[in-house]
Amino acid sequence: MAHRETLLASTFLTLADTLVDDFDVVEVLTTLCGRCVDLLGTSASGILLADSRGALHVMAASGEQANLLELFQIQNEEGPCLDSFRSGRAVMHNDLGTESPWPRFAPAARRAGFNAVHAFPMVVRSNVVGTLNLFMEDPRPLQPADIDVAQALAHAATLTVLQNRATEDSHRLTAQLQGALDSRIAIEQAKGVVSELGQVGTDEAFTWLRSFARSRNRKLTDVATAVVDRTLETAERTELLRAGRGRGRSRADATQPDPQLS
Amino acid sequence: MTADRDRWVPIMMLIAAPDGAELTGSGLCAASAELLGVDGAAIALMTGKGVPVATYRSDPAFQPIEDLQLVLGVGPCLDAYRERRPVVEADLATGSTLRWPGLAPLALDAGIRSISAFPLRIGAARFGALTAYDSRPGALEGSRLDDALALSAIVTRTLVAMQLDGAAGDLVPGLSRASLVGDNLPPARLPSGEIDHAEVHQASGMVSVQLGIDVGDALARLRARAFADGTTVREVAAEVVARRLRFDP
Repeated sequence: MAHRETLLASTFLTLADTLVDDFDVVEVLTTLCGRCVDLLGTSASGILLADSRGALHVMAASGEQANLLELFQIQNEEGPCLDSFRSGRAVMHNDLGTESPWPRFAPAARRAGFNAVHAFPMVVRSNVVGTLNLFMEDPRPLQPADIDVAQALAHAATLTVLQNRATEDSHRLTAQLQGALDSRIAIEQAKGVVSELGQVGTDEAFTWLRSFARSRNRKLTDVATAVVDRTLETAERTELLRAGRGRGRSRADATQPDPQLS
Repeated sequence: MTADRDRWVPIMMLIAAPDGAELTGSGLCAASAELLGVDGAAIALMTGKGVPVATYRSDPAFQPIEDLQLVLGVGPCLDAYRERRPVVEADLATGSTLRWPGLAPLALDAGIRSISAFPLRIGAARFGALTAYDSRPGALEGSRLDDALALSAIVTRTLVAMQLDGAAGDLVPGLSRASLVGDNLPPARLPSGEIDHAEVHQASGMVSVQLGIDVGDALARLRARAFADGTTVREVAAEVVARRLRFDP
């Protein structure tokens, strides 16, 4: 498993870099979700953060599919992520086909093609601020080594949120969480704008926004805010849409390695 | 936690009033000031370009200082809105004259020593600012700052709901006077409002392009449509995202 160790080391190295460089919290967490899939062999993963009222919100996911996002949303009422958030413990369910404590979540997850789900708490001191969630097609348990890696990645995700420079004016936990959540909402709004301008799905719009931000070396949240505000220059907006379309013609992007991490 | 919870009860009672009759801008400001432990609070609602459209305050005494900021376009209130971050003037008696010309003397005359302003925003959509005024110097720090940030998020969502029908009860489903008076629902665990879903924000972005309007106004249009159709914002948003519903100018 030498390959995995290399990948793990590079993942943490990248995250360590974010502690000194200016970075975008949604971008880094999205990358981290992608890495969970690679490292743990899961089908999908996502990170949820709680707002000041304790409601869970999607911060990042390995894919932006509507069914995956919907599964996270259900969890404001029930589900493994909510249970993990409330208890502060890992919640692992190896086979959703068998009896589960979640009458709404379990069938929805199975309809989306997921048969096992695992949630790991993101903890700051004694506060649970969110969860890292792994979805698997095969109904099977995580190996002990996988569990350690997953919990380490959850810790890394927590550190990333806390290091978010966007809320530099305050180092308070609530302020940092609120800032991260607002970043995510701005990105959802920008996905809508780009999706309408480019007449593509919102998942594709996210890919366009992300690759544009990377190619210009700009923060994803800043690009999203400029798109929503209409303060992105016309030339830049044209470039964002044109580059997106170009990508669409030769797309294999979902499986390409992250330029930032390789 | 109990003491903490008790401080939130008055404002939550106000927001959760079933018919919205008790929920006024000035009432919201007064409850905000009480929660934050400051002398007064004001709410300014602005258009996308920062033009004020409505202002509310806990006490008429704060009107001149609020007006000055909005008319001259200087002050923490405007900066918080423009920069999308909290802006704090911890002591107007020391060295702020250059930053905000004209503001300090008037504020000091009115007995105001410190001003803390918080943007009212949902993602990249801006609605205005909540400003706290106090006769004592000092920034809102620690748990008071946490309260102010949580309050700003709640006030924003409340105002978005008020734009249409004056009743904010649907903003926090399950929240009622009974549940507030009971022991089982600390304010930190209020359920999410129905506008806090990814597809609602995506649909706001799409409708803002369809109508050529600000994304905050687009959210109001989604709410208006849901109200008119007797359905929920989430359902309207899902139709927009699926391209089964368009808004035409």
